[in-house]
Amino acid sequence: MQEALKNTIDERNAVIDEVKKFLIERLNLYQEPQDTDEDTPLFGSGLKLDSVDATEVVVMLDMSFGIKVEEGTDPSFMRNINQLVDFILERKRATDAAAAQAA
Amino acid sequence: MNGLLALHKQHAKELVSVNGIDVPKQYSDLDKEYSALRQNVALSDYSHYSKLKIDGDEAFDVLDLAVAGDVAEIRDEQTLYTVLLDQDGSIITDVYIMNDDDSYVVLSEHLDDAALMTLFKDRMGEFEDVEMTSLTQSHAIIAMEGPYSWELAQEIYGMDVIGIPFLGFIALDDDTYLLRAGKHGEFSYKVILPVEDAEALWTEIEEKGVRYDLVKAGLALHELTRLENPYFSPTGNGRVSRDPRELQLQWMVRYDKDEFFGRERLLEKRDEALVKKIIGVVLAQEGEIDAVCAGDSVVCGGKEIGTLVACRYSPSLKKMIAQALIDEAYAYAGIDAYAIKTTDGVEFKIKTTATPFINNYSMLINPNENSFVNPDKFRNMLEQLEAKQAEAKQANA
Repeated sequence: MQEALKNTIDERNAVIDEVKKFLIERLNLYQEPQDTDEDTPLFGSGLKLDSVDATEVVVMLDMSFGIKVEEGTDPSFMRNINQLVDFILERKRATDAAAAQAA
Repeated sequence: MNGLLALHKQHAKELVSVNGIDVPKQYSDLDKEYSALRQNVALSDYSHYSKLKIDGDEAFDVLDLAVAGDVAEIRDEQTLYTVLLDQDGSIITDVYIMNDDDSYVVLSEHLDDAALMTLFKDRMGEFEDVEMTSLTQSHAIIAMEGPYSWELAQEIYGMDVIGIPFLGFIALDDDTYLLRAGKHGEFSYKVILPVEDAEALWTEIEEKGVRYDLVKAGLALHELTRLENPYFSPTGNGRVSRDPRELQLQWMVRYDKDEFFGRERLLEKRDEALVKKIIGVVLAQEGEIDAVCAGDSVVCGGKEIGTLVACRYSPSLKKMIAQALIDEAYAYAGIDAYAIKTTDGVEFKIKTTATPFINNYSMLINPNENSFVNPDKFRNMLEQLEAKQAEAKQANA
């Protein structure tokens, strides 16, 4: 595997692990991390989170990743773990790019 | 022949026999059917679902032993969507289990009536106080589906419809139910009712549906919609794997349940290293590409890392989408370093992605505030938000 690809996957894996750890520990889910697939729906039939849990996820984004979710943000980023991870990585890259430009 | 089937024979473009029941495969035009399901309301006949009523003091015990999900999770008027596994821990079919006051109705679209009943009888173990009654021939299933199907269903069944949560249902009469469940990401209401009442209801929905630009739809539509919003499909992802881990369907099983059919082998497999996994891929270039199909290779830097499982053009994304079974080390979303290599050796760049592939329009609709037919209300929350922002901007000017 090429180095650049390996780095991309490692970066994603680290965020996946952190998100799963948060969901399982903070929201008291019965699943183990390896039993929680990245495309598992967070709401409805999958992990069966509710609106209170959604608020916890928003708090987690702020506390763990420094991401503020503004009013009117498309809520589809909370559809499953993969989409949540996409959202985190996109925001992180945007922040890094802005910091690089400012430097 | 029942009245509903006679109607279909008269009006549908093509019928298909599934589980021994004739239902529309296509009603008119697939593009129109797709658009109705994704934008307003589609009307479908799902009578081909096998329907089994399970009663008795030990009905819960039999069901809980037979399926991989936790039947104890569902209270009255709630439904469990789970899977039946074989001894090897592989998925046989997905099923809905509806709890109607501790009497249960099981729905399965991939097993015929006899096979479903045999499967449960084989799993009864020492339990005896169980009565199984088939509702398959006696009952039809009519579905209103799409972002505004709740509004049409509400016209027919009243305000209670809005209060039905996903996988909830209300009992309308003896063995007659309104179930909110679907496999395409849009609002979906299935009416399970005696066959003799089905024609009248179909006609009523059709008449009331005119205001919603309702389109009658067949089963063929769902070969696409269930790829856009992936579910277990014996003719799609189920052709290459029946393993819940490989299919990313572990949420349908409860590893921590004490006992269920297939559990032992499932737990053994869970301890083994995962070799391959299904993920979503989207072609980089826009448009419908006939050259790409299931069976094509997925490559990374010239190395084969997987195979396309199912592939179609998504009108919502205007791109080809596919599920691919990929080597586990490469099976991550958000990667644009891979390509599809067709049998002719042509390569198409792809990006791996989270599934569902599309953001369903139903997610933008709040039944308490939006409407398709009321001009005083916004169609969706996005329009509502834009109007609110414009109003605020005007006030500040």
